[in-house]
Amino acid sequence: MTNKDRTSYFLSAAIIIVAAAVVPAIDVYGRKNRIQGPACILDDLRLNSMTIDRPEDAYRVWKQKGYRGRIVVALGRRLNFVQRDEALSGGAASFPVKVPDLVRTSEQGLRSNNYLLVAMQTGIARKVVSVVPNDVLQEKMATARSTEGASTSAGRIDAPYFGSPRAITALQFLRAPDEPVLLYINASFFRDHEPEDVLAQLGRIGIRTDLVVLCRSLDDDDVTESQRERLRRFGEMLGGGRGTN
Amino acid sequence: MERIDQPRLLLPLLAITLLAALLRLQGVADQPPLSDEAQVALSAGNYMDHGQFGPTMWYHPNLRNIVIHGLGSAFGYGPYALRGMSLFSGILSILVAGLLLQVLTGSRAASLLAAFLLAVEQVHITFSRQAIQETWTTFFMLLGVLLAVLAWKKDRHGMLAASGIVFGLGLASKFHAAFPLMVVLCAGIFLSGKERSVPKGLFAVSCLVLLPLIVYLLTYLPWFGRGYDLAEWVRMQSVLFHKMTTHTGNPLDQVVDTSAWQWFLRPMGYANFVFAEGRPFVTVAFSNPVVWLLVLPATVFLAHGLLKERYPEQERQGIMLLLALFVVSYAPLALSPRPIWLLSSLAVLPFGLMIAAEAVVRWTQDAPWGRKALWGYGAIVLVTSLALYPMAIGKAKEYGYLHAIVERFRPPFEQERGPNP
Repeated sequence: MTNKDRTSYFLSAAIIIVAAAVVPAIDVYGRKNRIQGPACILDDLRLNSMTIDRPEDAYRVWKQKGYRGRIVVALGRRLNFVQRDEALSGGAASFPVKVPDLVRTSEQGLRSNNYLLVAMQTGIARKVVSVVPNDVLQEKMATARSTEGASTSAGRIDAPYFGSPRAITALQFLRAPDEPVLLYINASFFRDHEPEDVLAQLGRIGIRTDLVVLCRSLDDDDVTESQRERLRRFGEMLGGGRGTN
Repeated sequence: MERIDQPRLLLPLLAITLLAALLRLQGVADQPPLSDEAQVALSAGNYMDHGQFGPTMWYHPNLRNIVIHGLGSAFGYGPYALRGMSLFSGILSILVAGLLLQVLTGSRAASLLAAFLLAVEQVHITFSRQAIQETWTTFFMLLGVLLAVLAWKKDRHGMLAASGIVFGLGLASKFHAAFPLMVVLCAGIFLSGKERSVPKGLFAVSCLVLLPLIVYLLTYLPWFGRGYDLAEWVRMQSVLFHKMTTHTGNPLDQVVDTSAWQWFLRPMGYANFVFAEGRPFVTVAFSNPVVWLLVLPATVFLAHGLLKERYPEQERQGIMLLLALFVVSYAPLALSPRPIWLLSSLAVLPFGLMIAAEAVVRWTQDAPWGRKALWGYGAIVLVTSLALYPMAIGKAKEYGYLHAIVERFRPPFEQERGPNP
């Protein structure tokens, strides 16, 4: 073996070692950027839950608690992911080009119809799973089939937002991620579901969470008092019947 | 091997590079920010501060975001900070293209002609003056190929490692760099196989697979800062790839000249519009037919010469590599069913220009009138390029003979209104 060959082997080994170190290090770096609290299953006594009046309050709660890089599972009839075009427009007539902070712009535009989008843009959510009733899913499926970038499979739509994962599914198709999620349940979801069934299904798939946010949606005329009553009942059943905080 | 540090090559090459710099820098600070450029600045901040892709060209890799944000943060988002890397890479590509052809075929005349063709190339000039990643990709892939070929010819380990890193930067600019990288990787494996050298093969694979991957992966650090893990990165890459292969453009994109297979068959263009100070400002990157229409016949000519074994061994390998670089870079774009605009041609064009230059020199070198013909061709290219040049720098409206070309690229929503009074 020549010196050149030895050098080739040595340098190849060095590159392989660097690659073997960098790749997992980046994986660890990513995971370390997830900020979460103590998590448990839904009938655990230690379950953390709270009730809010409007969807956008969920964003404020998550932000106040300092969550980052999380999977948000949101149950409701609405997707709360409406994009404001002006937030993304960035024309400039002259130099220097103005570069507004899109996260600040996004937060300033926080509304009930876009709180999940804002959570994605600001980095609280790295993935959003919207769980909708079957009729809403069918309606969205029809739209998704002709939407660039969206794909559909059995009971699920994948519609990434600028490369960030986002899915829409129905309760019976929901699978628990292998990490604790931020769980949000809107009263509108109980137009089509009984609280006991929802809790049973979420328990069956073994979803774990560090915070359940129950939203009464007081600003939504389509949400009835009976749906809010069901939401309240659902809250009472959480934590093995201990109820919401 | 032909030396690339001879004054007879370097001095004229530097002069051509200087000409390229003049053409690219002329009035570049007076060119108003195009909407793509303003969005690029916005995307750079969004990515570096929050790890989020977009709002523009979110499906492209992220070196652009990193560099533009760095330059913008250091110097403010003025014309030179925004366009600095495009200008730098656009100008240096001329030098690298000349050196590469010299290393591949050893022909000084062809090297200088190739550098000259790229220096006065309107599409390359136009995008050297805009804050997008097209000329970056061209520069990194040319430099990556040059370093790899030098590494094999001079048997230098460091150059092959540098090639891998540079190709990583190319991939992190635009996916198009993957095609020449594949050719260079195959060449590396072929050469080590020919020598029956396992360590050489292993080193080529380490340098040309692992190093680009590491560099490419590292440019995603801000994205990983959002909490994503490696499995999610792989899934995200497939989303980007899907978007890249199915992207049909934005509502305001031009609807003409969107077929890559026609690039070298007829003159084509790509236009950018912006309203500045109440007036439309239009740049049109327009292919010079005197050069572009020569590329395919030149490719056939060189390929025919290869098949007939007309070239000495040393030149044969270089020409074979050059043809492979052109064909492998061009075929996926030419065969793609989605619209592909002319700006993407910069991932293919330098190889096409080198082929054209090599063929022109071979056609003329043995003829008694050859030298005159070569200079004559150069003069025609220069005149036609200068005639088209106002379009590249947004001054077409001052030249009546260019109006018909510019009108061709009037966007659909404007066409209903008819020509401007």
